[in-house]
Amino acid sequence: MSVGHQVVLRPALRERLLRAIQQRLPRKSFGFVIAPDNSVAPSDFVLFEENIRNSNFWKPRFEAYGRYFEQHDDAGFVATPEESWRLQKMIWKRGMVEVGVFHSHLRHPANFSQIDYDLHTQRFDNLWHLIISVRNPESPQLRAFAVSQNGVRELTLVSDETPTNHKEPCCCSDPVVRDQAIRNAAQLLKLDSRGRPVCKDNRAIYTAVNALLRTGHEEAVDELLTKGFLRDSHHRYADRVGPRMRFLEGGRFNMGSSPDRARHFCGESPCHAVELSPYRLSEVPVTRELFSLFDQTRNHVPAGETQMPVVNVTWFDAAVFAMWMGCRLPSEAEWEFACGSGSDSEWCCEEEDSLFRYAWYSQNSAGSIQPGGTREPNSQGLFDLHGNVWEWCHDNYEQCYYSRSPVLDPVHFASPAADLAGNNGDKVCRGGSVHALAEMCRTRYRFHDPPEFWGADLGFRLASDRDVPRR
Amino acid sequence: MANLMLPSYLSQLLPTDARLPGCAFRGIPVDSASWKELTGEMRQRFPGLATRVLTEHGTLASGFALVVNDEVVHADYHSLHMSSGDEIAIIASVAGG
Repeated sequence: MSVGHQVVLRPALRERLLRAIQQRLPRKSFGFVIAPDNSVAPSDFVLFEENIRNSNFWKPRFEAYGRYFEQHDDAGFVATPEESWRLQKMIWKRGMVEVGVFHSHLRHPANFSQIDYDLHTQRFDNLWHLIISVRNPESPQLRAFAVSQNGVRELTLVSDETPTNHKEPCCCSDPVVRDQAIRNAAQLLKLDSRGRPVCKDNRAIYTAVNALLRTGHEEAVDELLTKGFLRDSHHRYADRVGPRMRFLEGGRFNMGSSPDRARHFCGESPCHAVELSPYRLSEVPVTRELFSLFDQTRNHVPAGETQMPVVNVTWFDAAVFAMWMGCRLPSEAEWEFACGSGSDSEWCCEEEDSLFRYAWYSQNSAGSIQPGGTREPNSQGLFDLHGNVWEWCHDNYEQCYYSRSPVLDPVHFASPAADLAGNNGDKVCRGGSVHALAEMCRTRYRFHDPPEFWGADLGFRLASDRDVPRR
Repeated sequence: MANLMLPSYLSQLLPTDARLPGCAFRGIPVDSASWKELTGEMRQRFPGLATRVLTEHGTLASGFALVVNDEVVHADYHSLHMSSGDEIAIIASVAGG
């Protein structure tokens, strides 16, 4: 059964699968996705109950993949032959066939890792693999992968519902639309007496700013944005952020991985030349203390946690905060250059054995997020790019973007229409977290989540073009 | 003759003319009377399947299980003797991280 570019997962099946997984938490769930014979679209799933991952035979094999598997005996799964046979007979009896394998992740995003690759390719040539991350149980994330001896390719998950016709936003030169955008912005960009946004919906703020900018109405932009929402941003930048922004020269470097090095990693190829203009990047991810200036619901930061990276922030939270601080989010290319300095190594250091010096990750963190800047900086004076918290980048994620991205200052923006419609597409996250295996902390490792997603190990850092010479 | 039963993900490794229509649980007749003969027959008739499920030493590859007449065979399948009408299945045990 060949696997194309997408997997159809009907909403009813998706809901049943998620419900089953959530009811079993914190246990790992795994099984087959099945379909009627001769059909590719799955209609059901079978779930295994028995897991011999901790048997004398399997336990050391899992632990050979790193400390994460020593510390979490719920990480990993192996079905028993007996249950495999019972379920096999049931599948046959129902006239069904296996079309995919699935399993849940309790702490990790829905990424496909080396151990998944090894164990899947030992067994299957033609089944796809679905991973369901419940690292944020309120917002489970599903990703499907085509797996072969040649590597892994992420598949698009689609429902078979009639596609919604996304209304293209009306032309902003239409006076009615323009006036509406200005009225919305006037409402949504209000600040309180301490200069913080009154509106708590950062998605709405982000969309309103975009709509306002697209009106081309200079007076309204000046009044509502420059002298309104952003009126104190230069002071905030100077007082709170500027001193810890590192200047990066930019220049030319090779971004991504060549196919022979991409292995089971998705979206990293082709390796391609990128040229970056100079920019600034914050030395550490945004801290809880800094973010509390913006979000009054987070202004009670316990002593001792002020320098912890802020987490549980959506991409919209990050993007609006950055703007309010007079900054922006880094592009994916800027992030990768800052992390690896354009070197050929997998991390900022030559060998994985040295990664613990630079990163809080699964080998040394015990799963706890640490204050920023408590490991060694990389050669550019930047801390924590590997591990501690995943970091949002500005770019929309697209698996094949590297094959067509521009050389100079690439950023994959959401289309203006999508931005205005609030349909922004997944955003890139980089760097791994305290739970991440070394492979997820790699300089070139790409992952993505929806912009409205938040997670207990997902933060961001700031970028800026202030006081840098432009090419 | 014994019947070799395969899940869909393994039956797709059979040569096209050896596949049975519909679900593979109907079984594929095999002439072998022992495990050694079966591995030889698989290598000859179903090389794609043999490459996937057998090691070079003639044992089942890691991740696969042998079932004979509804019983999982954990060890010593080298001394297995098959009779006419026996049902032999090879299945995978799903695993991952």
